[in-house]
Amino acid sequence: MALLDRLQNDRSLSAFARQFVSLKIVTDNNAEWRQWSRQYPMTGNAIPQLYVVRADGEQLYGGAGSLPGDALPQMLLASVKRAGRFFTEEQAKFLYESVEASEQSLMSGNLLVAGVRLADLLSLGSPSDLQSYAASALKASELHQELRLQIEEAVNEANDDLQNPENVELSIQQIIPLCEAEAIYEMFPQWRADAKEVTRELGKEDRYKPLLDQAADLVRARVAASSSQVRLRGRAPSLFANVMRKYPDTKAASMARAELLAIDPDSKWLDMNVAANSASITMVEFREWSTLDGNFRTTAKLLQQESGKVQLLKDSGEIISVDVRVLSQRDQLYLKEMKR
Amino acid sequence: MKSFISGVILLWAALCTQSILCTPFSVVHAQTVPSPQPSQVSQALELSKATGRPIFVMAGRET
Repeated sequence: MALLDRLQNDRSLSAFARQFVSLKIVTDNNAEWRQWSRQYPMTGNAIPQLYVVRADGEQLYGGAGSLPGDALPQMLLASVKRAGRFFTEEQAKFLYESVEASEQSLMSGNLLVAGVRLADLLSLGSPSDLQSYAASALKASELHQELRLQIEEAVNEANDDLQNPENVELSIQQIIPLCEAEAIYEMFPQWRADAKEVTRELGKEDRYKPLLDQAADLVRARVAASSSQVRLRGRAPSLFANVMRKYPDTKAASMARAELLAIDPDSKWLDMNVAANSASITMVEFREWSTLDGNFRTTAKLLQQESGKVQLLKDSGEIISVDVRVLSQRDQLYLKEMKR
Repeated sequence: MKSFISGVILLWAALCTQSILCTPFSVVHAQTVPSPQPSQVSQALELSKATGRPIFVMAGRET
């Protein structure tokens, strides 16, 4: 087939090669061809018959007979312009896995994980419109809309529940859906303006403030725990531990402990004495810490020093472990003072 | 879970065929018999769906 030779040897067409999935269908006595021609009927019997079909199945071109000269590259270029964006193998796999995980979570009612996995796609573009006809990209757009609807429903339910005069006793479970909604809104630029609105009114009332703080810290740990990014997920245990330390003997602490146990049964934070540590935490203040060479600085408070190492609670809620020897002279003096 | 796993396998299979399908306009021939499962047409469709790339189809007699 002359066209086949041209496609394989004409250098002017090589630019299109990676932009199409190429397929030859033999028309003689072939069930696949019969099925194809039923789906994409064409008038005329000239050979070859050429088609360009978009990823969502829409036919972009159909014509009988080969396209001589510039007609072929012009047709390919026109088709590419209408075909939308395409992804590399690696991107396609990431897109597929993120969308599947998000959909599963949405179906099971876990809006936070659904949001986190959908927000992972921000590295490719806005999940609401990835400008592609790839099946997972179209699905991502649907999920984005569905997620928004479900969040609004959850926020309305939570607010109704809080305003119900029969519910005298407040619990963190009533507040968590609101903090989760706020966290999800923060993840997507087009929703960010709505984030603060979710808890703004509650934050004005003193009786809600402690539970709002607890729920916000717990949700921060959950976001880290459900991330697909290893670095962020690695921070989850210390963020759960932070909730246990900051709010001992609360429902938030027991929830954080249970969730930490689920993601890291061997976590060192599970052994800590929450009550004892929480008392000492409140006695020390946040201060500036730096390394001997001055390259690293952070604002944190001392949690513990033992065996030449210190544990510091950063103002972000993260707990870090540092070798005393790498700390500045000033910090080492401070640690000696604190030991007395 | 089952559909997730089968989806991943299908995507993997589709992506694996990409090197066969897409070296500069190298063309997959959908032969008469026997037809491998999944067929090359359906593999091409799956690959297109997964990556967003359009399919360029030439239908003609076997040469």
